Amino acid sequence: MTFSYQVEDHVLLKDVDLPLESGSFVLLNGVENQAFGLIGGIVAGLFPIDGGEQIPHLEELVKVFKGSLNVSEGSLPVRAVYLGPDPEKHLLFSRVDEEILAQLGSDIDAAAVLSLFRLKEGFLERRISSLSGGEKMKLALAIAFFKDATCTVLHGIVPWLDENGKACLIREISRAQDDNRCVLVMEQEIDDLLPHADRHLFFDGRTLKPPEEKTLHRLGGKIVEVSRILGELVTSGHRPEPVVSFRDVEFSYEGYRDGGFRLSNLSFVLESSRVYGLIGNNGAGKSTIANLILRLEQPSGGTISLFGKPLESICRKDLMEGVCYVSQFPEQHITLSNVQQYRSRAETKGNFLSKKLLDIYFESEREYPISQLTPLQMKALSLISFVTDRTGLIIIDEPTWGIDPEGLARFFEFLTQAVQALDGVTILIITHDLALVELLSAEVMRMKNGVLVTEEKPVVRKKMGAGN
Amino acid sequence: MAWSVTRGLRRLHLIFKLLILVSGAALFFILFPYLLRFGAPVYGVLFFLLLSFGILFRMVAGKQTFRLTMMLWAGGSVIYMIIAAVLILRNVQPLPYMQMGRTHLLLYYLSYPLRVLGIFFTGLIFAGITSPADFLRWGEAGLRIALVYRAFEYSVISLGDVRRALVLQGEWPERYGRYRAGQRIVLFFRGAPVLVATIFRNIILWFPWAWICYTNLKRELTEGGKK
Repeated sequence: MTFSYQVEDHVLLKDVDLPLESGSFVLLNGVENQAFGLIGGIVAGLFPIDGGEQIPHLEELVKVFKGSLNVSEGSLPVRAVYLGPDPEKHLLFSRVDEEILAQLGSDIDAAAVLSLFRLKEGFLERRISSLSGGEKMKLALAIAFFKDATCTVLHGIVPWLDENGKACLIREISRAQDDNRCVLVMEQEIDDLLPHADRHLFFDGRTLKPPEEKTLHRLGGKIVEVSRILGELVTSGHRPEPVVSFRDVEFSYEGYRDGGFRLSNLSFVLESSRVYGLIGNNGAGKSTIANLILRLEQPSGGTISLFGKPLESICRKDLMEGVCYVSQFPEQHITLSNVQQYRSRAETKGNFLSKKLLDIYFESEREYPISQLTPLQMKALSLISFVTDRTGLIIIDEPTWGIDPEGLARFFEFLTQAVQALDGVTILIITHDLALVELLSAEVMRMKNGVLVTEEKPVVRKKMGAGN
Repeated sequence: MAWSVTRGLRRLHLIFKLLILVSGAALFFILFPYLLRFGAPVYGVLFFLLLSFGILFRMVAGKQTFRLTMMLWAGGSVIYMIIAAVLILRNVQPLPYMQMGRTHLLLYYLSYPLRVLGIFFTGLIFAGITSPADFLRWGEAGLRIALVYRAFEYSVISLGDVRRALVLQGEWPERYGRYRAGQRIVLFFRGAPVLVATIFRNIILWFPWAWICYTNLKRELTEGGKK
């Protein structure tokens, strides 16, 4: 099928030629802009939304969904299922069993649905709000693959998945193909999926074309280069001083006996001027470690030290200045309305590093309302606005989420600029993606069911987003 | 024990869940002025009921939510008490159809925050044991209620996220932090408007997609479609 899509006079998608044949698996990657996100919704028949359907007070936000679609060749799939990068928007009910019942009907074996992504039957009675992000995505995927459709469209799902999840995804795509269903996956992390795809297309920001080796290698090469520079810059001033120290730390969330996890006797040290990669399966406890360092949670046993002091003795101001945290979902941490307000705040607080970086990245004459920022801009804003010249630890949770390889390279460039201005900083990357950790030559820390498994420093390097 | 009570309540028919909601609203607010004719013992009964609802809420919601609710309530109550003190001193009658003596007046004003707490407990017990899926049996209207209810649920999740963000920025009192006397309350009052405004913004950003997903679910339910 071939289609174009425009909003008012602005053509967002021009002659997009998607070969969606039954039983085929098509993989798209490329520029992660607003138009890229629209492709999946259009194929699934979600967009354009009915012009008569009024969403009160939100017309400006939904304008882009109300454009005009022109299908010049072929037709849209008869029944398509769409799953986007935020499972929170697709899981509409409170508990797992209710979600399955409401979306698939009462005659469905709910345990069988969960088993598609190796979720245990015990999940059925859990509240969706108690699931980790990866578990939510696995649930949403299991439901999507269980639905009867001629086409399954998945966008931005891989960053949520651990190795088990990816293996299940590949198996379910293969099963869907056997059932003569078409699967369209729009993704930036394509290394694991590419060997299984029938077609691979590249989105250049407006239309689709076959991927050019030159483009892919340029992007892959750029990330490898900026990662190398960043890694070398951080580790150049290495001193064996502990920045973070966990000793016999115990922690469990309320109600962990109902299926949650616990940290038990966790001990490790993060040293100054190092890059660490904290990896592990969904729900293994990666983000919990960040929460403990940030004192959002308190351990039930053991001790945590930061910059050589007991964590509980550090005042919040010093903690804020010493640790810069970039969340997987930075919009949750952006509490001001636009970038200008962050600029003013940096000035008021005398954070000249933040002000300088804001001026480089965001044009000073523009306001940049938060609702119009891309995930890359939000991550950059989060990093830039919370870094200070006293920052000794930068924690970045899932840096690849929602951004394309070029965006990741730009994010690392900003990180490099921030690191250059700091006197010895440690970076802790929390990710599911070992390849990313390898690129930064980071020390690997693997979490498994709340326990830290020590690993050797990686030697083999993989290209990111190069589709090798 | 707590888990079995919660499970039992969740399995109740929606009508019974609504009955809990309505009875709480009636006891603590709508019927309260009419109950006053029974005199001061009403306050004793009210306090007993409040305690029962409080225990039930703690079981359903868990420690963290309970603590947060109590903090929010306490913050609002402080403001109310300042206003109430003025009204009590001026002997302002709260109900136009009833003349209260000094003791009753005092009890009425001072019990107001407790009744608000009762409403909090009732509403949050209802929220804890009810799911948007419960409304689906009411057809398309139910689907719309489910969306509104889901928006409420999302706002509760967002409350937690934004609160954590504000803690990280030093704009909200942290649970495990040490503060000088009054500093916690100052932070609380200073951060509350940002908290509410950011939650509201997050709902606005979430709503269009939720609307689209619900509309899509409605279409799927109409067309049928599972493996």
